[in-house]
Amino acid sequence: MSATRRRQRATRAGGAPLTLHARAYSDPELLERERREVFARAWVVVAHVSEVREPGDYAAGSIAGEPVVVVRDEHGALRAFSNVCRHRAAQLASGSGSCGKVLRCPYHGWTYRLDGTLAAMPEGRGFGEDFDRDQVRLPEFRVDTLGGLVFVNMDPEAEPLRDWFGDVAERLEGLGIERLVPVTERDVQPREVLRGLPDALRARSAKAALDLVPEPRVARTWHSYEHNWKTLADNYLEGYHVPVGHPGLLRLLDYPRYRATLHRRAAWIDGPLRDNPSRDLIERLYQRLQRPMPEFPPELAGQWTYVHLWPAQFIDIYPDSIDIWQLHPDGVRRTRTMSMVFRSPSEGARDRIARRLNGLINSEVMDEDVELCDGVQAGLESLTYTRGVLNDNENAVGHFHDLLREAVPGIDDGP
Amino acid sequence: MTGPRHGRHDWLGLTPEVERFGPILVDRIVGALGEPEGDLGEERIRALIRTGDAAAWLAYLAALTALVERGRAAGVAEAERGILAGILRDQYRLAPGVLRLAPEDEARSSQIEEMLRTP
Repeated sequence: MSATRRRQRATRAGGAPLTLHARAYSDPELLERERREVFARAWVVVAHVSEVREPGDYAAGSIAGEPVVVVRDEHGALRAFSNVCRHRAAQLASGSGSCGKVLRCPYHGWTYRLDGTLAAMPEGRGFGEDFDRDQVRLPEFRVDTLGGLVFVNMDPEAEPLRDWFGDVAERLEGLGIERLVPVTERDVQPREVLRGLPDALRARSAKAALDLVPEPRVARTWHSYEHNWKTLADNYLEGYHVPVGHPGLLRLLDYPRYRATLHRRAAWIDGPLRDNPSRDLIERLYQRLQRPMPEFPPELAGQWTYVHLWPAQFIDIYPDSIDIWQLHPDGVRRTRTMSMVFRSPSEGARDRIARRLNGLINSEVMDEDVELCDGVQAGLESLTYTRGVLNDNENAVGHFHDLLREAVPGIDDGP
Repeated sequence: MTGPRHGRHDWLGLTPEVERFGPILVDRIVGALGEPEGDLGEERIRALIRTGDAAAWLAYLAALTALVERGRAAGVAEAERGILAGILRDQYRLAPGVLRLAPEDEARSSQIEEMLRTP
């Protein structure tokens, strides 16, 4: 029997597709393989194009824990490098901003040109006369942009970005993300500012007051969860749990029309909103205030849209904002998540309130999801559970599992 | 992880299958019975999801059960009746996970189970 036929048999039982074997969610060896065979071969979002528009602009990111940095070099070309200093492995850059003409390591000051070569290091003679500094350079990776997002791929053999996600690439281009602006730390910390204001006023110090205002750096929000990264991905990818796991959302989302369309290394999930006003005050306010951003594609107005980009990046497309949510495995039972939010540059007070209400609604949904995933992670490690079956409404989970089976042969093996 | 996690919203988790398949089945059974168009269709379900509560949902299931029973007595729309009865059976089987069934709902549940055993 061929490997393909064996795989088909392993993934079908009485017509219902089967999930991955539960071992895939708790085996440290498989996680190491996923890092090398999935993440290190995939196109991964690192920045928004606005962060690296001018020569000297940089944005640091991570591919499943592998530090990378994107820079716009002095000739205007976008380049991606390992963000690890060749001296003692410190990270050269963090967040995003402008580094001028060089990247300088904050640890001992080794300094690299924007083509990755080593320009100089402090006390260079201390490394001996034979040390060849010209041989030192940062490993370079492939970089490209799609739909306003900057992607990096560590694999020199990978398919071009435009082919990687199949025909979703064209739909991503249509989202207009490049015309939106990333939400900055200044946007997301008004409460902290208000909290510190009384002390600053008491101190009668203009500097103390100014220090309260965060830098206008692009906000990347990190959280940590005690789940395998695939537990969180599976949960995102299906709407079958919405009626039971998030029943309140049924007042907002037109669940019967909620569906996932599968693409090459991607899934596109349409979640139409109901026309009727919800009974819940926050949801009703959101329904009343939300309106599509001027940059928003008209065909997506009136719905929430969710896009999965292989392997672990998700774009939430709301009429009031678009955000990207990434999963970074940090252990077999630990995942760090990073999110960035993009809003219209012309956002007014009404739109800002709608965006905040959206945040409130979805943070409650996230709390519910975390609780559900806590249970799932424990269940996947139960002695009595090996694998489950998938409903039609879980087709994107099945697609994701098939991609994993293809990328990591043997991931599905088990009794 | 059973238990009242969401409290008053829990019953909404019952609604998707009825919302998806109910209106067309109701339409056909009502049509076959020659009854005037009632208020068991899509508008009623949407209103329930928007502003209803668990008691109103059970009242709606009771009305659907009565419709299936009238169809059975008249011997019409056998296929549609069978599907709707199957959906109602699942509703009454799922409901105890999120709300307490009154004795009359238990009786309707038994009635549906019996109907499916002897169509």
